[in-house]
Amino acid sequence: MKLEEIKSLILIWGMISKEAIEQLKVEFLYHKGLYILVPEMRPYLLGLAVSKNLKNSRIRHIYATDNMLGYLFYKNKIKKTLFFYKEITPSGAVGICGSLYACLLSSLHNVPIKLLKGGIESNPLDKDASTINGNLFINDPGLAIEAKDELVPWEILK
Amino acid sequence: MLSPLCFPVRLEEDNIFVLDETRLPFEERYIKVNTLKGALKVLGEMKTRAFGQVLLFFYTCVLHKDIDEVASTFKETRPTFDFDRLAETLKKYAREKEDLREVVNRIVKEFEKNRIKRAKKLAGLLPAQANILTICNLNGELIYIYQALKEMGKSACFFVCETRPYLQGTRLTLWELNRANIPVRILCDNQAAILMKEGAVNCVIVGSDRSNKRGDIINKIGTYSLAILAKYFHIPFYALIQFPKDIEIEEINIEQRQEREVFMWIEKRDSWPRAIYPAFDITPKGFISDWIDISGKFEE
Repeated sequence: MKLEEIKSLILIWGMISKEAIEQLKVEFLYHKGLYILVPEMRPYLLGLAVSKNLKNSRIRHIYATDNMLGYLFYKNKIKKTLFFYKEITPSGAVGICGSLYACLLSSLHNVPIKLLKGGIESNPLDKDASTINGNLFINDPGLAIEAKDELVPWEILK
Repeated sequence: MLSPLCFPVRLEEDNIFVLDETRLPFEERYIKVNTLKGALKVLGEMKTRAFGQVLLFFYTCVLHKDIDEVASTFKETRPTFDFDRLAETLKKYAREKEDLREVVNRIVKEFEKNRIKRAKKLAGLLPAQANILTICNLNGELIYIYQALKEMGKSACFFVCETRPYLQGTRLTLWELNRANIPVRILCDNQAAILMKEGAVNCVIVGSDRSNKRGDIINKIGTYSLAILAKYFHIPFYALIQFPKDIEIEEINIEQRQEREVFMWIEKRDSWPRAIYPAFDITPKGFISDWIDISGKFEE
């Protein structure tokens, strides 16, 4: 699909919940030009699992790698971010690896972030950048930065 | 040679040998090319890019002779890169000297000298302990920067974004730095923000496929994200540029590649979701701290 064909995107970050899928189904009935943007969400490739859930619910979506998000914000394609967090703390919301990246990019482009409780993730094959789909790409896996849950401070989420 | 990626394309008599970057780090294999069609095929299939595509262009001109035809067909295949500028350079030199092969050899040597000069210039701007975040691959230039830093008594560690979907960061940059015994770590592209927040990196270095005289650049997809995040965290962002032109950057056609390539290195499934793949992005000048051009001249 070409970028020019896309008018509006809703970005999903984290594992989408069943409740959210039901809500999105309703929203999609009224917005014909709308697509869900499913980023890859490395290292876990969570995007593939999210995409499968959306496909089963017949919700239109587009897949992209995580590093494409900035350009999509820059081109004003993303209108809203749904951040599926794992935990709420006094300092902010905790989500999967890359949560700060996705939320900060949203915030810096003045795109509203909606907080939603995340669904249950399956056990991923990949734990960090040393592998993709279980295949090792580097001789020394110790060179990969550990993927951890990330805190997104309230000041970014407001 | 420090890394095969410093000179990924070479000309030997009437054959061009192109390092197949898509096979790295698993196999160091060269593809033999001796026609324009063959050159366009390896270019289109991403067998080479960045400095490799510059060399491929020059050497194809030597074999094919018609510089304008090479430039226009290369541009069709890789619209974001400025092959017209290379053609202009080549024609300018070729007017003074008849033998195109000799002209190209001289340009390539000069180019290489200037890449080393550029690395030294940049090294002078970096802190004593430079923890450098980077993306994609700079064809050996990070090794030159590291050497220059060492000569200045500085030290460095590179933090390389894996650069999905082709994984140039993992397969090329990590590989070449690691085999040169240079401190390096690899991260998922989305870990850039947390590393900046934690203070693990104190500068960002990127290349550029295109740039204009105002200071905007076009580079590998993901560059813009690093730039805007770096600005937020007050981390200097350096762009290596060549031949900035008086152009409107938004008017340049950003190459959009095939959907299936987004799923590169992931096992084939029954069906893939719809996808988008803009291969490059635009970083406006306001997010760039400094530009270092190929002539070694420092521009503000």
